[in-house]
Amino acid sequence: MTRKIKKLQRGVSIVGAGMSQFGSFKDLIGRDLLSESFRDLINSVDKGLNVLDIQSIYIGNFSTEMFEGQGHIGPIMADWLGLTPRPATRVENACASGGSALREGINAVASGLYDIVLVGGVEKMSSLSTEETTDVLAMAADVLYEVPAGFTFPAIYAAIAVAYLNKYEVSPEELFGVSIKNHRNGSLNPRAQFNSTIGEMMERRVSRMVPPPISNPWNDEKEFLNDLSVNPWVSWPLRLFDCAPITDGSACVLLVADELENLFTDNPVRIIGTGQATGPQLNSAPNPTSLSAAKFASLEAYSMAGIGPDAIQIAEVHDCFSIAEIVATEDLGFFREGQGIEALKEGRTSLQGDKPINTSGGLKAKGHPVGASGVAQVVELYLQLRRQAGLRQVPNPNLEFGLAHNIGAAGGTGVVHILQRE
Amino acid sequence: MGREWYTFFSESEMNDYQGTTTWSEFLQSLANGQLWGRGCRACGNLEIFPRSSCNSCSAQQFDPILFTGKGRIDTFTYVFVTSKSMVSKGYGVGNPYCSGIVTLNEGPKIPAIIITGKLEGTPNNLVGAPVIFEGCEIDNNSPTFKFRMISS
Repeated sequence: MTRKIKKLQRGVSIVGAGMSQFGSFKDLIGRDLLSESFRDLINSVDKGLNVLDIQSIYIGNFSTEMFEGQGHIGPIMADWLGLTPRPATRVENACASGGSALREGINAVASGLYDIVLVGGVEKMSSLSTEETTDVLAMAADVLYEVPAGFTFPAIYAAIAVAYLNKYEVSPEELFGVSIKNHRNGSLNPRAQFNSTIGEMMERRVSRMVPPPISNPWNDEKEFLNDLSVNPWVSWPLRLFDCAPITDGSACVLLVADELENLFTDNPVRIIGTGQATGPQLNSAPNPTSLSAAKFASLEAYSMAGIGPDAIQIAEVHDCFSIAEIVATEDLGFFREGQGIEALKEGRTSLQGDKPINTSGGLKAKGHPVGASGVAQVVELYLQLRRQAGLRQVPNPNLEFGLAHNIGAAGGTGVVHILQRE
Repeated sequence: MGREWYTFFSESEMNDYQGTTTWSEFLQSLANGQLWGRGCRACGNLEIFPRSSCNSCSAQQFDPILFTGKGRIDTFTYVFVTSKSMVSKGYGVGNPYCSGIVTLNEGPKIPAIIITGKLEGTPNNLVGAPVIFEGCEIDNNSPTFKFRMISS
């Protein structure tokens, strides 16, 4: 039986979006972060929001049990936000928890079950050491045979990178461009964990040197990134700056049935496509340079939206590692297989390019609070499509279609959403 | 992927279901140093891990297969920053290890530790390098497959 791809039963619009500051905050807990993004969302609704009008809540979160010793966070967060007795559900799909929570919220509105739904995502990660966090994140891989073989998450993506570099004869240094681009975008995003370019980080490091160097030890950003003393291997060929950081953060969006959107704004963003799929582990994948779940999810989303990859004018993709962004831009059909790296080098995915990717700074520079990332991607698209993205606003005056691509683990889950501003 | 997206089992497939190898039985099959897997009776697909259904056609009847243990490295990495469990075994930034995906000569792929000797400098490209099954450590209900590099 082959499932026929359908349209949503009724239209779903985003009328508010908010996020917390992303970073490492030892004095904040997950509830503080969600409260911050919720307040930001309330302030974002053009015509105001009575929070008591919210009818249901979906929260993306990966592992608050391990990070904060707290399970069952759906109702815990509903209580914290003053929204009991409304139903609240925590959605867990590893790094795609946020995108999956959004999809559940969309389904709830599209089905007619609810008219006004809050979708949030939150993760407080900095409470554990790097080693402990590595162990927690590895739980999203297959613990029966991937983890015992020594595969951490960086290791799985490093193996994908090796396959890609070999297949298309690319050098590891060519991946530096992803980090340089995304840090450049992140430097324009005041909420980003790394609100600075690689060049600025390089200059700060020089300014702290004792004694001050006679000449600059690095001529440019690429030379800086090629220095193992500042950019060591994490899992060869991936280095520290190829990896998204450990992040505390939260993001929220408000979904409403499209017939109600005018009660909240005259400038809504509509969800016109949603897709979700599962995929195999790396050792079962016929093609290690592609995540099939992303392809299937995008196929569903494109079909529902009635548009193809050429129509997408801006995208937030899951760049948990530099290679992941390259693979994503190919899986989504933006570029042919093996051409994602060329598109990066040609500047096509930069803020001024014809296919701007990760204008927020992406997971790499904005930060990657696992359960919140999929929602934060949509917050960025909401701002860009409404031309509220400030210094990082893409120059295209006719911006209409945006896409969010959220991946769980190394492609176990793929979630794709397509947004439109008319 | 070799199968239809959103394909569900037919009624006849469900009626034919005769059970599959449990994880415990699978681990026991590895205990004598041999590399056992299974072949799908319906499509002939070979695989190592005892999933509920064939990874290619979703059928549910299999025959046991003894693999030669010979294969090649599909892709690999050297892991420097690792988990607590690997750190406790002496691995880490100063002592990286090689993890890889091995494609057996018969076709199935296995995630494994590749025994390469101590890394000196930048790693050589090991993609396509021949390897042989060295054995399997079973710890806490999980198997660690190990392969050793051999000359081609």
